[in-house]
Amino acid sequence: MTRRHAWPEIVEALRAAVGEAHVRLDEVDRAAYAIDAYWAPRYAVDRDRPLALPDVVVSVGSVDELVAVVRTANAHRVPVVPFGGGSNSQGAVIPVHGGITVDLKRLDRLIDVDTRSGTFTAEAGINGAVLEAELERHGWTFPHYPASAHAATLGGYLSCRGSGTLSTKYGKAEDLVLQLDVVLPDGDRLQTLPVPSHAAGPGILQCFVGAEGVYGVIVAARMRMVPIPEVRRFRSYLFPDVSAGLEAGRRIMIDRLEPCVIRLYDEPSTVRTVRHVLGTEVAGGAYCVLGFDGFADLVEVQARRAHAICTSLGATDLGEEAGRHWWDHRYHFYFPPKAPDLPWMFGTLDTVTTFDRIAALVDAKRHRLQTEFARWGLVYYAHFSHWFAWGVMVYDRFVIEAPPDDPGEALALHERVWDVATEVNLAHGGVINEHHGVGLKLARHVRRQHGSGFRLIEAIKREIDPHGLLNPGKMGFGPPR
Amino acid sequence: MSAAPRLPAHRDLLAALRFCPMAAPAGETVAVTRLETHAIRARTLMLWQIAAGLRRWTPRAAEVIHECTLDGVSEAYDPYHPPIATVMLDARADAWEAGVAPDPVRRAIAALARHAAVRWVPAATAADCPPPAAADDAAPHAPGAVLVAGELAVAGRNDWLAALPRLLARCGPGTRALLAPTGALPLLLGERALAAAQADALLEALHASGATRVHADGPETEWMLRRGLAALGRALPARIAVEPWLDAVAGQSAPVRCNAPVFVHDARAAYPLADVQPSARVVMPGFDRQPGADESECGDGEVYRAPRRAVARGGLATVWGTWCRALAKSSGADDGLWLAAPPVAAALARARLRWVRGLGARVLVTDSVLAAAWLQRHAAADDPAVAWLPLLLAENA
Repeated sequence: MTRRHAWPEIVEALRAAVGEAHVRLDEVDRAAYAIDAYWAPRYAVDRDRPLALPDVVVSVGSVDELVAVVRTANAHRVPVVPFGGGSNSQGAVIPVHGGITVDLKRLDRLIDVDTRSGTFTAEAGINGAVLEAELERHGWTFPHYPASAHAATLGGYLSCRGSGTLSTKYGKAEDLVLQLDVVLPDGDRLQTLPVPSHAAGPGILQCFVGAEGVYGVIVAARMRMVPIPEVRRFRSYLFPDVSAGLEAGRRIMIDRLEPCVIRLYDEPSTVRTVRHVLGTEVAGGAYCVLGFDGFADLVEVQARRAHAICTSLGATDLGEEAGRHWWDHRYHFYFPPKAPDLPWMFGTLDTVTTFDRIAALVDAKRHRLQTEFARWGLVYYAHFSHWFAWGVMVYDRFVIEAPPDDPGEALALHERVWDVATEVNLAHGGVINEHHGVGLKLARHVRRQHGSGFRLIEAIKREIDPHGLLNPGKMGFGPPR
Repeated sequence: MSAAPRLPAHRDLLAALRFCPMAAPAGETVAVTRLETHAIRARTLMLWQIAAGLRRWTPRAAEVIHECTLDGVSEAYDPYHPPIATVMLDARADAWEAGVAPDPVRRAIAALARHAAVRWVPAATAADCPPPAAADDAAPHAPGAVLVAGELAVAGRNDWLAALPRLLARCGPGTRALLAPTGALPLLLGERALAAAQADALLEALHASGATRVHADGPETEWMLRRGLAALGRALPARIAVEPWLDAVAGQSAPVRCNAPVFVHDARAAYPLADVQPSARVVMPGFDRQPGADESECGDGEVYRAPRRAVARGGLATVWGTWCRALAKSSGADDGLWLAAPPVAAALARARLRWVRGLGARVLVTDSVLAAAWLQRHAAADDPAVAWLPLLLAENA
C-alpha cells in the first residue's frame, strides 16, 4: 500500500460510498486485478516477479457510487484505474501506479432496447456475450463480435476502439456508438450529444472512445443494433497468392458488395489453416473466407458478384463447408490449449493502411522482424480481416517459441520487437494499432504517432485531469502528479 | 494424518487456464458478485501459484474457493471442457487439510458430522399404490428397489419427508427409502474423512438390505452414487444398479393440472453425469435463441432427458433459455455453496429466478431436492413458483 496516502481514511470513504462488501484489500483480491491479456504481466506471474497491484479494489454498483469514488480519489490524489472484463491485450488495466482499481462489472444493466431506432442503451460493465444473448431474445443483434466477446464488457469495447469479426460490414465499436455517458476525472458527469452525426462543433464523443479511461470513465452508452439477418452465408477460396487475395478484397470493397467477412490468410497461415479446417495439405496460396448476411436474395446477388471477382483472379472455390466451420469455431482459438501461451513470447501487431500501401507494409514488417530477430527464430504470420472502403487491417502476429531465459533480457527483447514493428507501421502509412488499443504496451509510441496532435491530447488531459489520476501511465501520460 | 496436496497434480492444467478470461459469462458466482477474484481466470491463477509453491493457502484464498461453486458451468462453456470442477474439488480438500477452511464450512461440517445416521422408510403396500394411469405407461418397478434419499436427508424439508411414503407408493409396492447422508456434502466441502464415513454407513446399509436396484432422490445423490463414491475410493456393490426414479413417479401420474409454462432447472450435479457436452455454438453470437431452438445443443444425456420426459408425461408446456442443461446457472444449492457461503448462494437463487421469470415461465420445476428447497426459500412474490418435480407430479395429479 502506498504509504504517502492516507489509506485508512480513503478506505473508510470508499466503504461509505459503495458498502464494505465492495471494498477489497486482501492481496488475493488485488492480485486478480493486476493482469489482463498482455504478455508482460503474464510473463511476470510465470516467473514469480512482482506485479503492480492496486492498493484497493472497489466494485461500484451505480454511477453515483462511481462519482463518490472518483471524488474521494481526487481529494486524496490517488490513481483510479477502470476495470471491465480484463481481456485487453495491451495492459490497459494494469495499475502501474497503484491506487484504486474500479471494477465496473456491477454496472451491467441493459437499460433500453429501442427497436424503432435500432438502438440499445446499456451500462458499461455489461458482458458482451450476456448483452448479445439478451438482444437476440428480442430478435436483434449487436453486430460487434470480437474474439473477446465472452470476456469483455461494453465499456471495454469502446475504450479500446475494438473491432469484431463482422466489422467489415457493420463497423468498429466507434462506428456503432451514438452517445456516451461519462464520469469525468473530477467526478462531474458528461453526456455527449444525443446523436453522433451533427454539425454542432467538434465531436466530443470520439474523445472518449479509445481513450482507455484516461479522460473519464464510460458508464453507459447508446449503441446501434441490427435485426438478426435472415441468412448468413460463407464461402471459402484458395487464391494463388496473397496479392491476388488482396486485390479481390479491394475490388469487393470498392464495388460496395458489403461482405460481413473477408478473412484472407497469408501463405504460412494458409498452410496451417487449410490443414486444420479442411484436413488437406497445400503448398501455399492464400486461403480466404468470404461472408455475406442479410436478406437471402440480396446475399445471393452479393455473393455471386464476389465469386466472379475471386475466380477472375484465379481463386479456387472451396465451397461453403469450410467457411461455416470457421464461423462455428471462431472463438476456439482463444481458449487453451489453442491460444498462444507461455513459455512462448508472442503478440499481435495489427495495423491498418490504405490499399496502395498494405502489401509493402506487410512485406517490410515481415522482413524486418524475421531478419532482426532471426537469432530468436521469430515467426511472423498474418491475416487480413477488417476491411474498409479505402484499405485493410493486417492482423499479424509474431511468435518466439524459445525466448531468453533471463527475465530482463526477455522483457527487453519483447519491447524491441514492438519498437521495430511500430517503426515499420508508421513508416508505411500505418498506425501503431488498429483495434486492440494502446495500453502500457504502446504508450511510449503515442506521442510519435500523433506528432503535433499529441499537444491537443495532452492539453485535454491537463485540463480535465490536472493531477493525472485517471489510468496513469497509459496513452503516453506519465505518473500522477 | 494429513493427505498429500492434490493441486500439484493439476499444475499443467492450471497453467493453461490461469490467463484465459473467456469463460466469464458462464462464471457461476462472478455472475452475481461481479468480483474478478471469483472469475475462473483469477481462481486458476491463484491455485496455480499454490500448486507451484509460489503462494500459500490463506484464509482469504480458501474463502474465495468456497465463495464459488465448483464452476462446472465454466467447464461446460469452454469448448475443450477442461476438468475445472475436479480441480476446484481438490482445492477445497487441500484448503481443508491446510486448516484454513472458512468458518461457515467448519460449522457446516460439524453439523453434518452430528447428522443422524441411516433410517429406513418402509415400502408402500400394494393397496397404497395407485393403478397404472394407462396401458402404455412405464411399468411400475419391481419390488426390491431402494430410493436413496440423500438430498432429502439434509434438505431440512420435513413436509417433503412426510410426503415420502406417498412418493414411494407411486413407485409401486416394495420400494423402500433409505434416508441417509451420502457423504456428498462433506466431500464437496473438502472434508473427505467425514465424507468417507458417511459413504461407508450408506454402503453398509445398502449391502445389508440385499437391494439390487437403487434410485436417487436427486442429481446430487446420483452424482454421489456414480462419481463421488469413486472419488473416495469406494463403489456400490456390483450387484446394485442405479436406475431412474422419475420415470417411475411420472409413469403413474395423470397430467398435472397446470396450464402455466414451466422451466426445467438442472442442478449442477447433473453435468458430470451427462453423456454429451454442450456445443460451443450455443453461447456464440448468432446462435438461434428463439423458441423451438434445439435444446440438446446445451448438453444431452439421460440425466437431462428424464426430468423433461417426466414433465412431458405430466402434460406441462415448457419454455427454454440458453442457460439450461449443462450450461444451467446454479440455483445456489449446488456444490455445498448454500452451506459455505449462504449470502452468495441466495444471490444466485434470486438471479436464477429472475432470469427464469424473464423467459416467461410461471413455474420452475427441478428434480433436485436441494435446488427446489433453496429456490423456494428465496423466491419473491413475483417470481415463478418453484416445484420439486416428483412431488408436483405425484401430488398435483
